[in-house]
Amino acid sequence: MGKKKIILFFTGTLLSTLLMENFWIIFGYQSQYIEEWPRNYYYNYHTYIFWIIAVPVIVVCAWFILIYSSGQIAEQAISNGKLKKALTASIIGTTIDLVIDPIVIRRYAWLWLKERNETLWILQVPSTNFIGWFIIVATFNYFFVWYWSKFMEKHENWGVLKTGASFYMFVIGVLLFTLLLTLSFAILLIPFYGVDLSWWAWPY
Amino acid sequence: MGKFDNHIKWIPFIGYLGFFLMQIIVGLLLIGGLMPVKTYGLRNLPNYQPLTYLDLLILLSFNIPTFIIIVIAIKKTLNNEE
Repeated sequence: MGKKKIILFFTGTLLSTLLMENFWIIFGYQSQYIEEWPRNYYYNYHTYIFWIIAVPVIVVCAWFILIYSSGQIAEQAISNGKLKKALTASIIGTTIDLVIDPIVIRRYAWLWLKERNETLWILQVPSTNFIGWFIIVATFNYFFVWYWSKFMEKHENWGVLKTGASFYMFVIGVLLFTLLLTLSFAILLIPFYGVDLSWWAWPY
Repeated sequence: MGKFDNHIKWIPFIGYLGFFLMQIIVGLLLIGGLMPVKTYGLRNLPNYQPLTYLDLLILLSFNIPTFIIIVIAIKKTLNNEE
């Protein structure tokens, strides 16, 4: 991966984290005023120093490291097939999140606010968190490979501004796709709301 | 492979394994009660069951498929180097 590619990848994940996480936190925050709105989560104010709106800077960096590492490891491990590579990257990204979340919530580094009957829980974390991770890692890596190998090849003569603008517009498209797919899965899982797939007693 | 690419090819592995190691350390510190947990001012905190060594072991074992993928990736990277 060249320097230009890494800068685009980093800024793409930066934009994704800021839009996605701030959206969920601020959207969920309104629930204290509007009862029908879903409550989501927030980051513990005492645990982080630097913030971008409602998201700690370290979380932004973590998103980049996890998405980039998963994509690159999958790229090395799988010989061919963009979709195969993207799905492998997703498995890597989601399995590490299966370790991170149950440990970090015990530090109250972030807090899930949903009631038990508002979602399907996996290890006392809303399943949509893992589904969202799976989809974002797959779509972002798949999109990036497509963008770099197919799209940029056709537009080699484009300047920095045009390249950047087209890239970030695609990133927003990827985010919307992820959001819609995650919400679709959340609707499909409605019959399982209230189930907690873990060996721990319910914490509330 | 360029000089820059040559320098950064191990970064994904370091990134992933670094995160993994960090969780082991945080988990062990939590089990040992050595990790400061700041909760003042926060309301309606969930009362999670404390983490045990067995819990940590089970959580880490979820990463076995990923480790298999990583071993394959490292082998292929080393082969390419040769």
